Amino acid sequence: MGTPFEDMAEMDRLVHEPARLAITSALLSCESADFLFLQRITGLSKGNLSSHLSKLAAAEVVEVHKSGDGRPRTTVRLTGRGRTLVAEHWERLMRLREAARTWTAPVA
Amino acid sequence: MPTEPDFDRLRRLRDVTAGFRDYQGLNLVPPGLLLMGLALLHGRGVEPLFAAIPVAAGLALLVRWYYRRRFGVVEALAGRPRIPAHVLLLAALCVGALFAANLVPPGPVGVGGLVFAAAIALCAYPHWRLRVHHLVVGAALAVASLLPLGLWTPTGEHPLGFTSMVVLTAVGGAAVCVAGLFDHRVLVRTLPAVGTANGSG
Repeated sequence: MGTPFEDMAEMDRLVHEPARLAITSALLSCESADFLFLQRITGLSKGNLSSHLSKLAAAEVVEVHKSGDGRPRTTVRLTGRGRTLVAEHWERLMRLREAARTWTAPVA
Repeated sequence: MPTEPDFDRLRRLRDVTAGFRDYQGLNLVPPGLLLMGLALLHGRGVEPLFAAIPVAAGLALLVRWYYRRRFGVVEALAGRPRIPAHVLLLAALCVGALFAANLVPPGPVGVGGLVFAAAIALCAYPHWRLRVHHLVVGAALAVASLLPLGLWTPTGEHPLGFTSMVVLTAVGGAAVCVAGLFDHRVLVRTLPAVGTANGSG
C-alpha cells in the first residue's frame, strides 16, 4: 500500500479506461458473462466492445471463448492474472476515494 | 479517477452482476399469478388447476427466454451467499401447510401474512440497499398482518391467517408480483438498452 500519489502513478491504464473498468468490474463479480450482457452494461456497439475485449485479451486480462454449436455465443471471463489485477485496481481506487474524502472534508 | 456517481454506478453494476438471477424479477410473476389464480379458483375443484399450472410454467419459460435474449447470460460466482426466492416461498408454503393441517392453533394476528412478509423481505439478502422494495413490501404485509383486521370479518379470524388461505394466497401472490416487478425495474435501470448509454471507444 502506497501514498495516494504512488497509487495514482501505479494505476493500470488498460483497466482504468471507463468502458474497460465497467467490463472488468462486472466480470470480477461473476465467473463469466456473455457478449450481450457486457454490451448492456457498457452500452457500447458490437465493434467498440470487441475492440475493448481484444485489448484486454491481448494483455491476458480476459479470456474470450466462442462457441460455434447452435446459436454462436461469445463468453468472456477474467483470467487468474486479470482477477488479481482488477481486484488490486479496485483496492487502489477505494484507497484514493478515501484519501480524496479526507482531503476535501470541510474543516470544523 | 472516477467521480462519486461513477463509483455508485460501478458498485450497482457489480451488485447486479453478482445477483443477476435475483434481479430477473419477472421470474417471480408467474408463481405470483399462480398464487392469485389459486385464490380466485378456490372452491371450483381441481380441474382449473390443470390449466393454470401449465400456463404458469409456460409463462416462466417465456420469461426465461426473454431475459436470455434481452440481457444475456451470466454465470454466477461459485459459493456466493444467497437465499433463492423459490426456497423462501417453498418454506412459507410448508409453514402454511402446517397451519392448514391444524398442527398449530390460529392466533389473533395474521401469522400467514407475517411468514410471507419475512420470506419476501429475506429475498433482499445480501443486497438490502438495491432491493429495498422487498423490505417495503414485506413491512407493508407485516403491518397488515398485525392490524386487528379480524374485527371486520364475519368469522372474527384475521384475513391473513392460515385459516383463510384464499385471502392469504391472493395477497401473498400480489406481493410477490410487486416485489418481482421492482426487481426487474432495478435491472432495466442498471442495464440500459444498447445505444442509450455512452461509452468510449
